[in-house]
Amino acid sequence: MKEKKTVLNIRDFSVSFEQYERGFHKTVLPVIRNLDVTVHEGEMVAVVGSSGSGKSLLAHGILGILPYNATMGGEIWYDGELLTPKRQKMLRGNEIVLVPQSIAFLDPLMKIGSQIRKGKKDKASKARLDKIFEGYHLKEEVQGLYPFELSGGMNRRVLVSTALMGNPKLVIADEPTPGLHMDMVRRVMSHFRELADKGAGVLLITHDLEQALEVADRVVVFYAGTTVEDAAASDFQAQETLRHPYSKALWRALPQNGFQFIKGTQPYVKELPDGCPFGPRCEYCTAECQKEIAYREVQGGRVRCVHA
Amino acid sequence: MKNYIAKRLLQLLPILLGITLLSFLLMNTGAADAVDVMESNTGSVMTEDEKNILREELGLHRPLYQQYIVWLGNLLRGDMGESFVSGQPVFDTFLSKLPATIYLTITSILLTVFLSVPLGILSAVKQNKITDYLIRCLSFIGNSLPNFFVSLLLIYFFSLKLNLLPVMGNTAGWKSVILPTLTLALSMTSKYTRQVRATVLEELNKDYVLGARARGIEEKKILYFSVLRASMLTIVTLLALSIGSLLGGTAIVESIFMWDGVGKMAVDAITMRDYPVIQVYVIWMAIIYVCVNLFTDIFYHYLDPRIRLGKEEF
Repeated sequence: MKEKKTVLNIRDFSVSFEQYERGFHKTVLPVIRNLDVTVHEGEMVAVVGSSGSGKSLLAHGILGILPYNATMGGEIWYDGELLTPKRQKMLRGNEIVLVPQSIAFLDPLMKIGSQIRKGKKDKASKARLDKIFEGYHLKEEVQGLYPFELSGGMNRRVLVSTALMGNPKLVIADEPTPGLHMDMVRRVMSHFRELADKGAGVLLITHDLEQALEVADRVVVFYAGTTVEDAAASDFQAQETLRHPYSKALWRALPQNGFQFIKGTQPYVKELPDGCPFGPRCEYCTAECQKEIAYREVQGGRVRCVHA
Repeated sequence: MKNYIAKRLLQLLPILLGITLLSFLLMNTGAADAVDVMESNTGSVMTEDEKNILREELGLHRPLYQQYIVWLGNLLRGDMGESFVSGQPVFDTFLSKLPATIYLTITSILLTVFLSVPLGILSAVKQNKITDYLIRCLSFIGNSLPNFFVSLLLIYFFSLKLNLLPVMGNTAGWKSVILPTLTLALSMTSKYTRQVRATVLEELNKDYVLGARARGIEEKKILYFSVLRASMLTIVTLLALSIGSLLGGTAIVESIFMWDGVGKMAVDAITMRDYPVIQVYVIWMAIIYVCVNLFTDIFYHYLDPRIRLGKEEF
């Protein structure tokens, strides 16, 4: 098999927020750190983590739309070149696209059609939109509707459509299926799979491991702002092929594997332990775990654990 | 849309009727006996019999509801009685004062909009930068200065020291409108700049702005086509209320500058207890607010599809 081109390579990525507490005392909140993800052409990579672990910030960081008080660290490489803010501005909406979480990411006061066409009225963009809508079984009238007039199923397809107006090489889907029926989820997921099969890299950000396993090629496990494991989706078929204790815990929590849960909760950014963030909840935790832990290759995947 | 406007206009009728009834009752319960007031205003001495004849001539002996109907009929014909003080028809007096007030309203609202909208946007876009602090600081000062003090300062500098503009009156053409306009616009601009800033910031923090950025839309386009449009909803409501109160005449500013508008008319009428004039003023104010609200709602309908196309709640 030919080595596929890397579309996205994120190295040691971090996002932190400046915050004022008790008057003028400034603190820095590191919400994401040590995050590594790669996406290849035609590959669908799922970043799986529980709610509040900072997954959306990853998407916003790649697109360069983080809030003004956020500071980004690390390197993002896109298509073999460093992704600078200038390149982000140029590429987003065209080569790098976002499929947002909800309809709230569309302007409530603008009609769907002109919004997706980005205000362009020329024949080419109109024809293009018509074709995209046709592909998703959206009637032409939908273009004349406002976001609030769409039904739940329609607005997912509209959101996916927004991403296709350009020439997407990297599709970032940020929790694209919250609160949807399983059938609907499968249908939305199949849209992304299609995009990947056509050659785009797809980064799926989700909290739903089951969903991710159904469609993704690789799964990156995200815990308390850090990537703890990078595994092929097939590794999730058995506990033994997984590398990190947290991934194993996730595996045991799947319905078909016993629905077992582990004690404790994901630590809040301010109360992170030294070294491995999963340490306090881990049965294998030793003194070594409290030091800096490297992200290393183990059996074709990567893991941030000294015991793997 | 036409249906909606017709519906709204129909709804206005009972409101306006209620207002006329209230102001009529106000006149009858709060005020002293009209004939007594006439007596003291004209300075002639009348006997009780003469007074009774006069009351009968004026229809004051009839039951209240009949008086109201007669009064309402006259009102619809534009006859609202005569001033106790000047003896002139009240409605004509009112009409003659109105243009000055409308003139001042238009100039000060325009100046306010032209100043506060760009300043507010600038302040929001440059949030927590030096420009923002400067604008906020200035608007804070503007907010803290009372109108009468600003007008006195302006008169002192521009009229007395520099001798550029007239001290008072509305007879010197465009020059005379400058100081009253500045006075009114200064405090309104200070208020609105903050309001525009807050609204724009609120909108800028919404997800659809992120969505638009992610779709690669230029920041300027997002600001002018999406954010500003959404912010207009809030700003228009506030502006409409300001226009309402300005059309009612700004008693203090009009009095200080001897600007011969309805505000000054009302203040003068109150000091002289000229009830028919006060009555005209009360009805005028009510009509303004009702109309301003109507226009605001229609504007909303035009601007916000969620209201226009959503369920009609009637």
